[in-house]
Amino acid sequence: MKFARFVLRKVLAGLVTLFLAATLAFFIAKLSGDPTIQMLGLSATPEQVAELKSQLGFDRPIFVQYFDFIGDAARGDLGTSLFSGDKNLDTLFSRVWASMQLAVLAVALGALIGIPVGVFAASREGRLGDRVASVLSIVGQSVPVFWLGLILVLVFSLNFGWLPAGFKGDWRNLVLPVVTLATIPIARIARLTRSAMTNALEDQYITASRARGLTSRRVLFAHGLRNASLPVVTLIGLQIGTLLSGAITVETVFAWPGIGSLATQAVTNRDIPLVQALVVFGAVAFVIINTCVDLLYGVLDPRVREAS
Amino acid sequence: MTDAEQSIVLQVNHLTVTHVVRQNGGRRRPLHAVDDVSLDVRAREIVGLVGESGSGKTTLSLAACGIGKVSAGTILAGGHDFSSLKGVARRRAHADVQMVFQDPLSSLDLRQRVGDGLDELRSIHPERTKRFTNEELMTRVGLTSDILGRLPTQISGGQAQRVSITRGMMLQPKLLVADEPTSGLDATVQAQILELFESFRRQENLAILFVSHNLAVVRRLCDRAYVMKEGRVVESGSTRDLFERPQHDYTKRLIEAVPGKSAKLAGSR
Repeated sequence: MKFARFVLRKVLAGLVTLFLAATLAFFIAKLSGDPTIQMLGLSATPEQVAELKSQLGFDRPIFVQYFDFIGDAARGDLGTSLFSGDKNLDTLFSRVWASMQLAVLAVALGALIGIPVGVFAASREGRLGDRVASVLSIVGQSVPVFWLGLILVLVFSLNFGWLPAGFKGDWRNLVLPVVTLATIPIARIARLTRSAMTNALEDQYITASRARGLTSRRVLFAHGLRNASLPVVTLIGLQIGTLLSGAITVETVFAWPGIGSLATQAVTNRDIPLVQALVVFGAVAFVIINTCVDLLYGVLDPRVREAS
Repeated sequence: MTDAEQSIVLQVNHLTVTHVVRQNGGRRRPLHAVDDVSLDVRAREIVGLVGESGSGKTTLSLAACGIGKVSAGTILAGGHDFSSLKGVARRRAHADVQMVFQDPLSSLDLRQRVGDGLDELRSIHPERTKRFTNEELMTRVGLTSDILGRLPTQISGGQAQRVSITRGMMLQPKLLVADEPTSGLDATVQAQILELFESFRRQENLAILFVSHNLAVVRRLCDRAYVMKEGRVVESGSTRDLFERPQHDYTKRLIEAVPGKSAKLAGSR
């Protein structure tokens, strides 16, 4: 019962966030100017502009447009693209799977490598292993993703011919974009895990656990990592959300037909309804992931569950 | 080996623990947290280790339990030389030498329920922990079994210290190192915890190294005591001699510094 209330509260908070994100998306798009002039070109007459505005409903009072937008979004209608004329929701669904593959695999790789590296570095604080891990994670965060992507394509696709660089094909097509995209999550997760673990390992219950004869692995993982896990889980969630709502550079380098390349097209074309739909989609992705992260807090830390 | 030597549970010989610290100018210099200290504790004996904060008591305690740094000297605790042990043998040896910490809450994993903590120790030391059930362990330290389902944040400081003592005692150690176990607890709870140590000494032949800066408590509980100052033992002897006929100026000053000392110290044994 307590848990159901906890979930309900998180879902309600998520809905409020979505409402605010949709509102921001609408008004910021309106502030960016009139898209009809760009659509018709500078030579368009005022009558043509007025006619197009009337067709698109842009001539109505702004609050009428706003309430229509919110009402449609609540019913799952994110409007129609000004350019293709396709339903934005259909376009998003056609692209989301490609982005989701990249985002989830890249962050999973980030967690699989970053967490053990962070734990290793924290358990050897100040020693050679820690310093090497720190340098590598700084390098991982600093390397420009587009450059790394191009180098990987050059070496593994063009030079050795081991892996394809484009989108179409089998699982091998995922390798280079996922590795490229994972470098930043690996570095960030490793650094945060190290920092959180270093703090956790200084706590007295760690000394007490060692005094009771617990194995180093148990002390590190069952106690240290569990207590250090909340910020790491939060970062993993944020990374998935960020990559899901558009890994623009990597999708462009690898010609990956995901949300990121769609966003690039929408902004370039000033396709305002599609941009709004992308913002709302990004907010939905973040809300769902944050809700999952919040629920995971309760699993990882019983105090959160008890407090709720 | 004589009987007296056989009954020694903790033998510390010329222990030195040195840390390298940075001075204001950034230069490194060695700091002897413990400097050439020798002491012993025998079975069924409660030995006090007193001194001001920073005198090296806790550093020595951690080293005695095999979890602290040892720069020079030897320690034989519970029959084990931890410096020569590794892996399973070392973990098993830890069961013979247990520690109770000053702050009971910080010595417990706040995300782990009391009962889960006890079960974890059962899984690591199955042979040493089968004597009592968790409920019986709680009864032994004056707690009720409903505590088992609670998180450390849901119990009082006194209850947490009893849980901490239970976690140490369920492994049936030969030596318990208690580092300021009653500071921060109110007088009634303090008395109950001290009574608990007394009963474990009687029932389990337990040897206790009792670290404290509370001289009244040391006077009441301990058979012998060592006085530490700046990492060195400056005086040792039976508690009675130490308190009634202190030899070292530092010991005299410590006793003088106890508020209402005459009433407290005289009436405490």
